[in-house]
Amino acid sequence: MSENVAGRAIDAVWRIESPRLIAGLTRLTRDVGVAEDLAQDALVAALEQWPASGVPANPGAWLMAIAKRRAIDRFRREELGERKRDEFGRVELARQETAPGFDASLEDDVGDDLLRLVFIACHPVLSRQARVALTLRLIGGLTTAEIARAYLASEATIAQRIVRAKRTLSEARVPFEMPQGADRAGRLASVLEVLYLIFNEGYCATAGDDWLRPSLCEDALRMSRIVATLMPSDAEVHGLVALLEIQASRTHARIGPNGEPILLLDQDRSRWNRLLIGRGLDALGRSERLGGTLGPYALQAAIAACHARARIAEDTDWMRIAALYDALLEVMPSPIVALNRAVAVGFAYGPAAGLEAVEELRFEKSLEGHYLLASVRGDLLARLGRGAEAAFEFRRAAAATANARERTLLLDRARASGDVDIAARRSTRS
Amino acid sequence: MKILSIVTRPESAPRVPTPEEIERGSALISELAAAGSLIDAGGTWPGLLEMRVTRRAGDYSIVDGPFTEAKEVVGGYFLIDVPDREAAIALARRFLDTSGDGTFHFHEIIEAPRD
Repeated sequence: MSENVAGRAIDAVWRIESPRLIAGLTRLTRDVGVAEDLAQDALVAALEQWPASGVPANPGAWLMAIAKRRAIDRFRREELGERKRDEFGRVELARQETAPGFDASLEDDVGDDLLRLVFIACHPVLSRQARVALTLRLIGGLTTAEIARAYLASEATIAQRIVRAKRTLSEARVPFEMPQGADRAGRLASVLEVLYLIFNEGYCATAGDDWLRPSLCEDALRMSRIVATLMPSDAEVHGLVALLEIQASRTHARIGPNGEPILLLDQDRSRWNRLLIGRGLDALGRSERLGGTLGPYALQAAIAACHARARIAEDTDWMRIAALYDALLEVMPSPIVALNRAVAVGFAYGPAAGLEAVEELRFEKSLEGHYLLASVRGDLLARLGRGAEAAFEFRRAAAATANARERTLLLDRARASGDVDIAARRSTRS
Repeated sequence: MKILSIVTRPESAPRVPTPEEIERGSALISELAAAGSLIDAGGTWPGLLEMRVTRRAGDYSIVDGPFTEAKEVVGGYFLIDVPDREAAIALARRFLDTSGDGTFHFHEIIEAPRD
């Protein structure tokens, strides 16, 4: 019976209510794993009673009332070590049992608790994979099965990963508090990175059931918006939201009818989601208004915004994009950023200037054998009319990419460039 | 007799129950499920689908919720199996005692005659 009731509504309710619930319980119990167990028990108990009672205006408070009860029961029942007993917050539990205003104070703290939970789930003591899984589970409210499907992993693998992550946090005695001082910037960077990784996993659907993965983009966006609400004065958080909103706005335009990728400049811009673009530009505005130098996410969002503002590809403000890449290269020096900068320079100041920028990267170790370098060179060479060299680069790029659709695209371009070259030679001969 | 029951609450009624009410409610549900009186039950949730599909003189109208104009809100449904009318009333009373003001709407389900 309880299984029956729980089975149906549990996922939906869990997704809405669990993050705040687990966050509040983590503050009480100081253990993410215990908090999650209590939250789940409370949810099952609440679902059983809702048919009779109706759902109160504040279901979170109900769930918390049940969970606190269970926490006390568990606390009394189990033979806990003295250390654990103290950690469990005997004082805290005693206080809430007697203080009638406890629920109200809990409500006030809920945002802070949730933010602390975000920072715990993305704690550097965990591997990147573990951070991603734990964040989706605790903040995104996804089930283990949903996470497994999204990452094409077995449910057992993900379950194991989450269990280990919780154990690691428990053993490392990670405090339930907001990082301060010098620690803060690095910890926030980890949070933003995790959200970005989740989004990208959905956005760059390279394998598997494509249709399942856009949900990861939505989850990342949903969680990023929550974090932005909780940290309204942090420019980079708004920058990340802006970047994800604008990238998400192109979701439907970037895949062709046969599942083939459509490059940004070839996309049908009428299929871009204007609502998401609007939200993205708003978030970017918030980030810029907070002042200071723009961070890597805000800069990438600003670049994405240049594309979003151009009604047709020809209207793109490439000079501004090239300048933004200069700034991005300063805060985030990476060969891939430099390569993208070269592309922008090629559009802003002509293919010769672009090629010059690319040449600087030729001996970059990390780009060696990377299809993108060859593909960008090929494109610039083709525009300079150096067809044979361009075809050579496209073929090299095709050999380097692991993605079948990308390879087809590159080979087509190689053929097209080669043809141009042959045609050009013919015309010089005649 | 098998009975379908929809439970409604005055719009203002749903509130966070006390821990004691929660415990009593859980105990009651376990007891009735174990005794076989409770076949199934499910709560409704404001964030989930709410919709009315109506056919009138051949025309369909579809109205999406939430139905904020309603004086009462549906909390959920019960499917119960009890010997008689009195047992159904007793069951409703016990539930309402644990969870506050509200109405159980009972509709007996027609069952095929057994031989």
